[in-house]
This record gives sequence, structure tokens and C-alpha cells, in this order.
Amino acid sequence: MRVAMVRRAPIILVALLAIAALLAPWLAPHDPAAQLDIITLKNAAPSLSHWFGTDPYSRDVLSRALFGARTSLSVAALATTLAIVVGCAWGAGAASIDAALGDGLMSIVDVMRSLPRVLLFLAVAVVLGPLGTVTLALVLGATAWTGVSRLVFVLVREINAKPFVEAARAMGASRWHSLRRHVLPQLIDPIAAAGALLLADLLAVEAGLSFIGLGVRPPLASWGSMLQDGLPYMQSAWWLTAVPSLLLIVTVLSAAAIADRLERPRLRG
Amino acid sequence: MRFSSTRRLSVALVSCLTISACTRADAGKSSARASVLTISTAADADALIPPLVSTTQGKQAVDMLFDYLAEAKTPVSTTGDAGFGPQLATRWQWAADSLSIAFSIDPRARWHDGAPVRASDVRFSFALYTDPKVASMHASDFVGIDSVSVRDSLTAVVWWHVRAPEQFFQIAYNLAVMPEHLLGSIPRDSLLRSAFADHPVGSGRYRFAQWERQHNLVIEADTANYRGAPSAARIVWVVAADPTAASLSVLAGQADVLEFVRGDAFTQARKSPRVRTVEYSSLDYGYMLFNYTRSVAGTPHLFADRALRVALTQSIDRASVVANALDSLGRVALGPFTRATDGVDTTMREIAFDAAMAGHILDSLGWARDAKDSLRHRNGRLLRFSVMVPASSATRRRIAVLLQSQLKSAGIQIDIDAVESQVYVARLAKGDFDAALNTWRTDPSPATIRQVWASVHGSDVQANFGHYSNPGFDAVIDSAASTFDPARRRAHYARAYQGIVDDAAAIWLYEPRNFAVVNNRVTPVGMRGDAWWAALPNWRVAEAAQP
Amino acid sequence: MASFLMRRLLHAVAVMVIAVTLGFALVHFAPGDAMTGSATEAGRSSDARDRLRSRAGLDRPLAAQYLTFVRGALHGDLGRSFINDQPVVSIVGAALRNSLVLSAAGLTAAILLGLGVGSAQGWYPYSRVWRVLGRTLTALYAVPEFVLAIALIALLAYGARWFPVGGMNDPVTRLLGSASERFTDAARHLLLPALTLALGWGAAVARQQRAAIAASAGDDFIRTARAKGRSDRAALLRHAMPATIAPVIAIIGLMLPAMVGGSFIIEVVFAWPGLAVAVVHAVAQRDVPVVSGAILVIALLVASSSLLIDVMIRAADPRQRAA
Repeated sequence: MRVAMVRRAPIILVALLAIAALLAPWLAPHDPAAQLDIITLKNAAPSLSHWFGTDPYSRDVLSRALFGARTSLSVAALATTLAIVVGCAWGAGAASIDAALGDGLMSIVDVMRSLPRVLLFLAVAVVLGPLGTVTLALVLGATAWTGVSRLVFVLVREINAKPFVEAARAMGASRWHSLRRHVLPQLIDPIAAAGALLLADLLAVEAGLSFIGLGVRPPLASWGSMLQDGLPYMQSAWWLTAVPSLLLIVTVLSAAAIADRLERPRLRG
Repeated sequence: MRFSSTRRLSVALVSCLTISACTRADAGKSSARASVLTISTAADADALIPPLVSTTQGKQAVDMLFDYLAEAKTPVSTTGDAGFGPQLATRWQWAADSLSIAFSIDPRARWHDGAPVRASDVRFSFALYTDPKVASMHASDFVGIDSVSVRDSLTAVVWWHVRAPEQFFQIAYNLAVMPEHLLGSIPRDSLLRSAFADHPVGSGRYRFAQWERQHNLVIEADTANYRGAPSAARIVWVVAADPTAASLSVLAGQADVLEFVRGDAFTQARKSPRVRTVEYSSLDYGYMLFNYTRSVAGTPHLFADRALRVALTQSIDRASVVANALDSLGRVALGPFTRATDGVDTTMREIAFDAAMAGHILDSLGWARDAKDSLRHRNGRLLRFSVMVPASSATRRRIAVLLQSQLKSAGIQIDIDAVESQVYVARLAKGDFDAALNTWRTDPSPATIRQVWASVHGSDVQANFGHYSNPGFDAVIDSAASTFDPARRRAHYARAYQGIVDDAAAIWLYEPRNFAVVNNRVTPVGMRGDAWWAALPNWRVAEAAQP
Repeated sequence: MASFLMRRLLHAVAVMVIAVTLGFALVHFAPGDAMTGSATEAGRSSDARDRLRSRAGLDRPLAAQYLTFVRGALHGDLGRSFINDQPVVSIVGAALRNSLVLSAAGLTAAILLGLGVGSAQGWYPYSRVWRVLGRTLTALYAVPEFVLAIALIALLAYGARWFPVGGMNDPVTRLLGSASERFTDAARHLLLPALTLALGWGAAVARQQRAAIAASAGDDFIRTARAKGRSDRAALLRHAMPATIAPVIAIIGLMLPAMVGGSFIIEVVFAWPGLAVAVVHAVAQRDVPVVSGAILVIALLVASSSLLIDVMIRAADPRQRAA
């Protein structure tokens, strides 16, 4: 029983955070952008009235953490979805067509994967400037799909080469039919695992971008922008960095643990 | 490249040897540091050839290595020559028509290589600053000067096209004199690639010793200097990795001087028994700049309406905003000048925080609060504009978020556009913004206010990025700039200042206060707002080293 | 093997060309240029700036500027900085050296840490200590690098004051300190960023090593060796380790781009004067030659080292060699 609880902890944690993010408007004690009193409540330490203290603008950190979860999680989730859709389409497509053409398509992916992603973000930062949440998610998704496509490509080729698939094809099943019937079901677990890892990764990237001042626009809260607001006060107001860091760490670790769980059956089999 | 790195190495070696020699002579490593004044900075000098310097670190070093014709007193007075004492010139004589000034060069003045300083060097230096091939950013400082001629080997005569109150200031404050015999033969468009660029030779009280780019810049006392040996034997600029590291270095007693502190480091400096904070006047002001040509919220030239600008100003509790963002390190700005500006009356009339009055004005302009979002609309358009800030400025980002909240309670929505600093400047120059949080560093010369606030004629907007235009202000400021009598001139400026403040040309936000952090063993003197380092050669450095 | 090498070379060249072109385009299409300067400077006379622009060739067509750069780069000449007229080779060279110092320290520490923890975990699958250590490492791997860096700075630099907050050395010590003081100072500056990298990278190595050791521990020849009474350590070193080398090299190869990205952020957070800081500064100043030069070097680094890794995997793994 206890073991089961521990094993489910990551899923429970992520679910709780997602629920908290969804219900933020009802759970948060304050408006996350409200500057309660910029003189007397600046960087107030955690107390009964402000559980996680207040930030340099006298905003309630708990409320910002809840609304920040909303921003961070939704951006990461949207970007992950996008990356999976594009990655699957590209990977499965390349694996199902003529081998030489497919290899060509994948070498484009390989080249893209070899480019340090930070360069692309630097480009975004300089050319596009601060982004809205949707644009941010689009940009993140657009740079993240290559990993998924490589995974899907390898898996689909592997499965296509299996005797029963070849047999079905020989008996006249269309490519589309065999893809849907035989291939897709076997892809669900590994893709879900890759998705969980990607979610963790993109959460970190989103936080990193906001952290260097190029993420979401103020006064919107995200965990990265909270970190950035708190950084100059690392010595005098530790709660400003501790709260978003811990939230980020917990979420990212949970996502990684979930991915690990999803991958394991495949490794065993 | 190999040559220069070898030479740099040998220079480094030599200075290591001299330092270790000192160590032995003074019997103890700590006293070797005692004669050295170390200045901690987060950025390296850009160049050491005066016309090509644009960073403050470069200017600091250049001002030690080179001499000017006359020395500005504290505070700098820009009319006539009353505010100046002798430096490279022992005396000067105005022509009867005031169109030329003859400077007599100190016959004892020598370049650091031993050659005497000549009047022809002054002529050469003027030519260098103004040669288009050199492409100096400072060339425009000499507008109005016709030429420099050599009367005899020790007399240089500077000629103007027309008489102006700031003639003397213009030449004496801006022209660093450089050696013709070393620079004359170098192609003007590749000065920075010359050997001189790595090993400058001047006539100042310090001579060049070593420059290891991105690490340190060392100058040493010119003990035989005609103006006397300076106090510290060596001045070293040490380049820290970032501003935090730079301030920690001074707080820890490693370096002696930090030009200014912000945030947590200020509190620590105040508490530390090892260092103290020294205030010197500030020449910067920060303001919300409006783009007068822009169509905003469905209204062409929205910000051209004075009533609206007044209401915006009244909606903001500037005292609280400044207190939150800068603590005791800032004051509310009075206008497009600072409290240190000559002739400013600090008790002048200001537009005070008055949310109720702002509400009335906005109502009367037709911007009515909507019951649903409690924001103000007119003809179905929301009163909304974007405010551009450079992402690199923590202070301005902070102020933007504070203003956003305060204006929201007044029913006005602003969107903060935090952009990379080059993007910021490029968009300012193009006029591609609704409003921006800008800062401006004023010049000792009050006439330069025209660069920012005088009406734009033709295509050169100078720094009037928002195209503010106020003919009344233009007229008063023009007569102030051309008035010779100090008292009348001051009265003109006071009128111009009150006029632009009453007009709410911008929202005047803050004026930072400059506090240097200085190790207790150092006694700073003569810190000026425009150049805190001006009297650096006279700063006393106690022999007793701090642990 | 030859066609494999050919393919990998082509790939490496493609990566470099794309990276450099992207970098070049990025600084050109971004608003502003190296001569724009600050807001105060932008407000003053623009003649000087226009002259500097044409001297730098910024008024020429973009394609011509690009060709000039490529031609120079092919001859090993990366041009001069727009900002201070210094040769790009020396600017980027210094930054590269600093980056290599940090990456080498971080990678060495990561490999030692990963091999140690991973081997122990694989060899003693039932030991609780090693499992906990391994799990901790895996957890740290998932934590975003900059969060890890901030945590370490908060705890060890600001909190315990054991380490400096950032930079590669204290400039005063560097100039005036004795040789031993300079060494200690440099080591103290290196430790925290290198540790951050090692904690992040070590987990991947450990994971791979654990799996490889566990797999080979089941192999007949190892079982035989153990049964013959060889000590555990001898069996591990003689028989199990060599078989695990290829996968570990492979995982390092796979991580290379991520490592460049990871150390990029670590360099920025720790103000380490390496390639990342050089690129960030140069982009901010629109110093096109420095940006292009630095990106070229980064791409060259990634491409050539992943090429090297591929070749090493082939050489180390007999099965691959046969294929």
C-alpha cells in the first residue's frame, strides 16, 4: 500500500498542480498582479496573511505561484502537444515512404538536432522580442519536435519490418491501414513517455527564457519570471527564488518519473 | 597578432617584476598594494585614444593619461572662463572681438616619451577629433570652431565663427591634447590598429603601464610630471565578471573603489566597517517619453493633448514608485534636468499626484470608465498604449510594472514591451513606439537640453525621439543659450524649465543618486557629477593596507 | 567505413553552414547595428556613425557581406570586431579557451562521477546506498541547469560563502597575487560551475553505465570469472568495464549539443567569460564578425566532436566494426 502510494506520487503531484493551476482564480487569495502596498509590503517575509511572502512589487507570492503554474504548465503542455503532433507526422511519414526519401527527410532532422537550441532562442529573443503565451508555446514546440520524430521514425521502421506487418501488407492491406492497425497501438507508450520528458524539458526552457527576461510579458506570472523578479534579492528575500525553484523542481522530477514508468514496460518486453 | 601578444606578455612580465620589486623594497606584500588604487568595474575600457573613446571606463583612463587645455573646477560652470584653472595652458588671452583665444602652453609640459608638448600638438588634436576619417563620436562637440592655428611653438590660437557664451568651455572641456609626433603618421581610419592604441603616450600625471583587455588596465605615476607627481603610485582598473562580482570585490576589501552601487550591495556597504559610501551629484534623469506623432487608442496624436498628459502624470504616485524601485538611491525627478543642474530651483511648481483630479480630466475628455472592466473607453476604443523598456535595465523594468498597476487603477491599460537594448534604441530612433521609459544623461552645458526637447527641424531628430514641440520653450531656451550675463541666463533657463514642467512634456520619474563605495584607506576628493574621477590623481591612499 | 565517414562529414558541414548562416542572418535582421550605440549616443550627430558603417561594409548588399565573411573564414581570417577593431580570432580564441577549461573540468568530473556511481549501482544491484545515490543523480539530471546553478550559488556562494559568485578569477588576485594565490583563486572560481555541469551530465553517464554493467554482469564470461574466485573488482575491471566503454562514449556524443546548450546557460549564470558570454555580448552589440566567428567555432566544436565520437564508437565496438 505504502509502496503503491510512493509509486503514484509523481502522478498525484502533477495532477494536484494541474488542478491548482486550473482552479487558480478560486484558490488564490489575491489578484496575482495586485500591488498591495508598494511601500510597506515590499518583499514581506512569509506570514499567516501571506503564506509565501510578497515580492518586490508587494504582490502575493502564493497567488503568483498558482497563476504561474497556469502559465508555465499550459505553455509547456501546448508546446509538447505541438511537438508530438509534428514529430509523429514527420517521423511516421518518413518511415512509411520510400526508404531513400525517408532517410533524406530524417537527415534534415538530424542536422536540426545538432544545432544548439540556445542559438535559436537567441534569434527569437532578438528578432521577435517578448512573446505572448501562445507564440511562446509555438516557438518552443517548433524547436522540440525533432526528438519525437526521430523516435517515431525508428519505431515505425522497426514495426514495419516485423513479419506480421509485412504479411498483412502482402495480403493487400493499405499503408494507412497497417499504420493505424499495427503500428500506432505500439507507439502509444513510448510517445507518452517521450511526451512526459518533453514536458519536463519545455517547462525548464520556458522558465529559462522568462528567467532571462524574454518569456511572458509582465504582469503575467510564470515560474521563470518569478525567479527573475526574485534573483536580485537572493540574500535578503530567499522565498522569492525558493518558491518557484521548488515548484519547478517538483514538477520536472515528477514528469521525469512518469516518463520513466512509461518506458519501463517496453524495456522489459 | 603574434607580435602584439608577445609584447603584451613582456609588458605583463615587466610590470610583474616591478610589482615584485616593490614588494621586496617595501618588505611585505600588503604594502605593495597600499600604493595601488584599484577601481572595480564590470566593463573594460573600449579604447585609449581620446576621440575614439565612448565608454566611461575608457574616458576615466584617458583623462588620467592626457591633459586638457584648462581644468574645470567643481561644479563645472560653462559660461566664460571663470570656471576653469590652468592645466596644459598656463594662461590664455581672449581676442578683442572674442572670436579667438590664444592658449600659452606650459613650457615644462612633456610627453611621457620625453618630447616637449607643442602648440602644434593642439592644432593636430583638433584636426584628429574633427577629421571625418577618424569618425569620432565627439566631433560634434566642436561645432562652431573654425580652426586652430599656431602662433609660436608654445602658443595655440583657437578660432570661432561666432561669439558664444560657452566658447571657452567648448574647447577646454572637450579637447584632449595628443602627441603629433607619435600619431601624425598613422592612417586616420585605422588608429585603433596602431601600436599607439595598445600603448598610448600622453602628458597627464599618469603614464600608461599595461592593458590586458577584459582583465585589467594599469597606469602608473609620472613622477617627473610638470604638474607634480600624483598621490597613488599606480591606478588599476580591474574588470570583474559582472556588476555583482564588481561590488563584492570592493565589499571584500580586494578593490578600493566602485563608482556606484545599487540594491542589496548598498545596504551591505552601509553596514560594512571596511568601506564607506560617498555621494556625488547625478546628471541622469528617467522619464516616460511620449511619442507625439503616434496614433494611439484610435486617436491621432493622442499625446499631443496637454490635458491628457497632465491626467497621466496626476495618476501616478511618483514618490511611492521611486521609493519602491530605488529606495534611498533615487529621488523624484523634477523635469528634464537634475537637481545638480546649474540654475535649477528645487522648489519649482510640480504636477502633484491627484487621482481624483486625473479622473475628472479623463472624464471630461470623454474617456469614461466602463462598468464591466472599469477601464476607460471613448468611442468604443480602450485607453491603452504600450510602453517600451530596455530588458537590460532592472530599474526601468521595475518602474514599468509599478506604473502599469497604478495606471490600471486610473482605468488606463499599458502593455510593457521589454525589448533587447539595441532593439530599444533602434525603435526609439525610428519613432516606432507609443511611449518609452527613457533616461538621459545631461551635459554640464545646460544648452544641450535642446538636443532632447527643442522642436525638430528637418530630418535630424537628435534625441527628441518623440517629436515634442513647444515653440514657447524653444524661444526661451534659445535666448538662454545665447545670453552672456550669468544672472539673466539663469533666469531664462528657470523660465524654460518651469514651462516644460507645466506642459507635462513627459512624466518626469526619477533621478538616481550616485553613491560610490570607497575603501576606508582611500580619501576621495573633488568628485564631480560629470566625472567623479576628475581629481583622481589627488585622492589620498593611506599606506596602512586593509586586511 | 569510408561511405559512413563521408556521410558524417557531409552532415557536419551542413550543420556548420546552417549555424553560421543563421547567426549571420540573425544579427543582420535584428533591429539596430553595431554603430547605433546607446540612446544618448543615438541622439547625437549621425555622420560619424554612417562613416563607421560604410567602413565596416554594412552599406554593401547582404549577400556580398556574407560572401566576404565566408571567403575570409575559409582562409582562417574571421575579420575584426566592429566594436574595438580587435581581431575576431583573438577574441573568440580567448573565449574558446575559457569554455574548454570549464567543459573539460565539468565533463571529466561528470564521467568520473557517472562511471563510479553507475558501475557501483550495476555491480551491486541490491545495495541501497548506491541506489539512493543513483536516484539522486537521476533527479539532479532532470532539474533545469539554471535552477541547479541558482540553488548552488544561493547555498554555497551567498550562504556558506565557500565560493565566489561568478567569474573566472578575482581580477585583483590575478594581477597582484602570488602564483599559489592565483591558482587557488582560479580553482575556487572553477569549482562551482564545473560541479553544476557534472551533476547534470553525470546522471546520463551513470544511467548508461549501470545498464551496461548490469547487462554484462549477467554474461557468461563474467559469471565464470566470478565463479572462478576472481575478486569482484578484478572481474569488473578486466571484463565488464571494456564492454561498457562504447555505450558511454555514445551517450556523451548524443549529449554534445545539449552540453553546449547546458554550458551556455551555466556560463551566463556564472558570468564565465567563455563562448556563450562572448556570443551574448556580441549579439547585444550587433558585433557581426564576433557573432559569426563565435558561432562558427561552436558549430565546428559540436560537429567535429560528434564526428570523432562516431568514429570512436565504431572503433570501440567490434560488432559495429564488422557491420
